[in-house]
Amino acid sequence: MPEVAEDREVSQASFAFGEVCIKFESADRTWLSYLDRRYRNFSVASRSESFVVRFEPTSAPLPPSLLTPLAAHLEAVHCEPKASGYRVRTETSQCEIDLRSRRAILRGPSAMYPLDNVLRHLLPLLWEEGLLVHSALVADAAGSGVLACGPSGAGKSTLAKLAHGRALSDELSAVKLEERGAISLALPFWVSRPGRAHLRAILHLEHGARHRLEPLRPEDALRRLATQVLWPVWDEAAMARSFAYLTELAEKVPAFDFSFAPTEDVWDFIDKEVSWPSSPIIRR
Amino acid sequence: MGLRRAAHVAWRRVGDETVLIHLRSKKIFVLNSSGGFFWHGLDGARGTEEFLESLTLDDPLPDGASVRIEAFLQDLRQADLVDAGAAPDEAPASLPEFPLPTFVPPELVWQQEVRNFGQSCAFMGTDPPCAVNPTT
Repeated sequence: MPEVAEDREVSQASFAFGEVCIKFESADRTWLSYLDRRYRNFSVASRSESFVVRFEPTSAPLPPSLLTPLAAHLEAVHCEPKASGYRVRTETSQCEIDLRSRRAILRGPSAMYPLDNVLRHLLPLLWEEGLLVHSALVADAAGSGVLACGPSGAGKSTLAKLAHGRALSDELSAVKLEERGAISLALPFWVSRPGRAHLRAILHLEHGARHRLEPLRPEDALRRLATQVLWPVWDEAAMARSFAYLTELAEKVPAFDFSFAPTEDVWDFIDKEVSWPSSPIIRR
Repeated sequence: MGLRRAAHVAWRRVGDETVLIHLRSKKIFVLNSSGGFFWHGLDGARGTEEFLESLTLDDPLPDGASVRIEAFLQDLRQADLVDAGAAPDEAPASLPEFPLPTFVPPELVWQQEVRNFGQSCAFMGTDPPCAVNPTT
């Protein structure tokens, strides 16, 4: 019974990406240890609704430029729609994604980059309740939070560090809309810990000589936010869904251009200037 | 011949502007308030002349208004946001009032291709543009 023998050796690890739980399975325990190094803070018990990614290492050598098995190696991704999902190929890896059965089989060298290449596409597809946004998330003790958006170098990590214990993530956050308003959840990238907050504002960052906050019209907020969203580009229905969430967020959550100097008083400034909206945010 | 909004385009009004997403080319387009008015009327029954007839403005139409409308419709065609040719299945939808007291040329004021990972270096490990990856 070779299949049983193989299954006996398969180990599992589950991690939460917002409210999406992914269970990883593999006989390659070293590969699973890489996951643990990256996502340890977000380790969860497996759930029945988990999406399952089974990793099968191939004998292909690691790319010569790869410094460590955890490092980045971007490859062109070719995506072919299938009956209930997608076949995703790169030069050195392949992934069969079945959205109906909520399973994927990933084959590639024993490193993180084959998974990275799939995750950046898969996570926006699986997060059906809202958007994934390139942002830091900072919450206060009462559970209200601020999303700080911007491209690399805009100051997300700086602002998160200056928030000290209040930062939940410094690179990527999930956002969803509920009856009571917008909720943001921390994702495991990079300095992060599990948590969520009711969004009271979205800040679009840039460095400046002093702290300066400019309210944005919804039209302008949308333009800023559109470039910071991880779009599910493989799937038209998911794109339409994300677009609807984007427009709703732009209209419902106060947004600001925020230039700041990296000083210890920056969160005092934000907390003083950015208060809760005068009326509750109601989803349409 | 009229134009109609393409089926592969989703759209919403946000503030004074109308925002479109081309679901295949993955591009977002923003129309000014005047452009949003004309976009709303693109049901296959209207062309430039029909639009001109539907305008009820406080001031007379300026010279060149039809040229500006035609240029706008051409921009929409070039961006594959509208379909041409087919006759409408239904009677023309009623148009709202032009949102401005005087004619303002309809314009496509912003466009942006969106990507799967935005500008994030999440998933990119230590290589540029990510300066720091605490996991390595």
